[in-house]
Amino acid sequence: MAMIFHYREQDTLLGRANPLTKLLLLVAICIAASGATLMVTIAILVFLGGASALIRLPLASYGRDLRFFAVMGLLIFLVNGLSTGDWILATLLTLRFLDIVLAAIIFSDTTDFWDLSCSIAPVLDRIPFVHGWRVASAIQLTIMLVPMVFETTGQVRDAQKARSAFLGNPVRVVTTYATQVMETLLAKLDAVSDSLDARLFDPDTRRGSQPMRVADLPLLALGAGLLVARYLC
Amino acid sequence: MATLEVSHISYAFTKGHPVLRDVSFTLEEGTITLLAGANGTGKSVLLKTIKGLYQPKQGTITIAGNDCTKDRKKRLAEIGLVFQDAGTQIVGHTVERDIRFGMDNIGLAKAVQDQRLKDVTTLLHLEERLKDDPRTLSGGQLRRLTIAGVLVMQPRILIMDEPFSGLDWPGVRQVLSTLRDLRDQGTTILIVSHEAEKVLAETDHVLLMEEGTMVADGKPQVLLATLKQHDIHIPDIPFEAMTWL
Repeated sequence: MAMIFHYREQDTLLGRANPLTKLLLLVAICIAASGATLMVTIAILVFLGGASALIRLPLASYGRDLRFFAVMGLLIFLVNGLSTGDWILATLLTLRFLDIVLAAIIFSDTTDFWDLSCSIAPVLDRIPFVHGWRVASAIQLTIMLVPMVFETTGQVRDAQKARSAFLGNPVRVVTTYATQVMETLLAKLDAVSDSLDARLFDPDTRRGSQPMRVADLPLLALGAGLLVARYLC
Repeated sequence: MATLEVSHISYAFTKGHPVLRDVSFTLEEGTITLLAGANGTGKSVLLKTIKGLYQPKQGTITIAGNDCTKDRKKRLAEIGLVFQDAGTQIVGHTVERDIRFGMDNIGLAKAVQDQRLKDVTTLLHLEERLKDDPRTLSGGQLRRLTIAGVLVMQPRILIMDEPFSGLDWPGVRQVLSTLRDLRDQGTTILIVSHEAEKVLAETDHVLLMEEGTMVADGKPQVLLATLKQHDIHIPDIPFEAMTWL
């Protein structure tokens, strides 16, 4: 089963694009989606749907993890609809949320976080008092650990289900679950830290980065176009 | 000259509660050494101390005649450590990316990386899986990937903590075969394993720990009875019959 927010190596336009280009496009989509009209929001969703199809995003195999976002979307729809009485507004807000989530899924599916950090670091290094490569390493490691968080929560949930731990006082259930997840994660992070040290990982190491190519221009133009549409429409 | 000489090493997490007490042993070049002992005897702490993840309170660690006790970075570079849990060692989204990680860290040029990648993946039979997600690998393949990620950094000594943990029998045989190939190429290997019976036949030298100290050090054939006395499982078959490859 494929894992959500996990990179897949692929020979597609998005797969080959410069990571910085994709990051800028993601930011543009998020900004555009956060304040766009219903029509623009739907257009973004259609575009993202098309992009998902082109890269054969395995949405169906994300299973349980996608259900979380579906529930969040439903909550946004219901809460806004019931509180304002404006169901069109509720639909708009839900679609904006889905736009941002889908954009993030596509981004992480097509972007290797190591390449991403190597593209960001030289840019950050130009900012005074900022250690660009160290910040990039922090981003790298954080993104690397996201699948571990999902795996750990899943493992703890399954272990507790097997012991009928979800029956009983809800406060105690949630506290026990959260504590177990934190303890397991901390132990794993300790092991990850040791293995990084063992392979001489240094957050300040300068690595090669992928150059911008002509093929990145259409994506950058798309991002610019979205921002223009956001503020003009 | 010994590849690794550990002399009177002691280590404690908290004062008054030593985990390692006056540990000494030697590893010769191109040999496989088994470090055996019950749970909690300090084997993993010893590995991490030798490697440079912990700093010994007393004693010396010498690699190829050079005292590296205070030179943590040199120990990190000269000694490769493959941990028990393969999952926490995988950092790349593909096999190739994961193997290149260590080489990026030591700043190797791409041409050098490409050559080492080719050599190591051929040795460990991973050349067809370079573009694959590590999560799609079998247990034995994953173990070989963690070995590859360390081997490309060309450590002088390779240490493996429970290399057979979680593996089915074909996976165990794959790892055993790999260890034998590496030893034949001159790599010095130290293995920690509870499953002594799986690796004894390939071992040149056995160390036995108990309560933070080394209680036995010698040839596997000579120490069979000692290992049994210390509750290390050894099947009741002749030593010569304990070969699985």
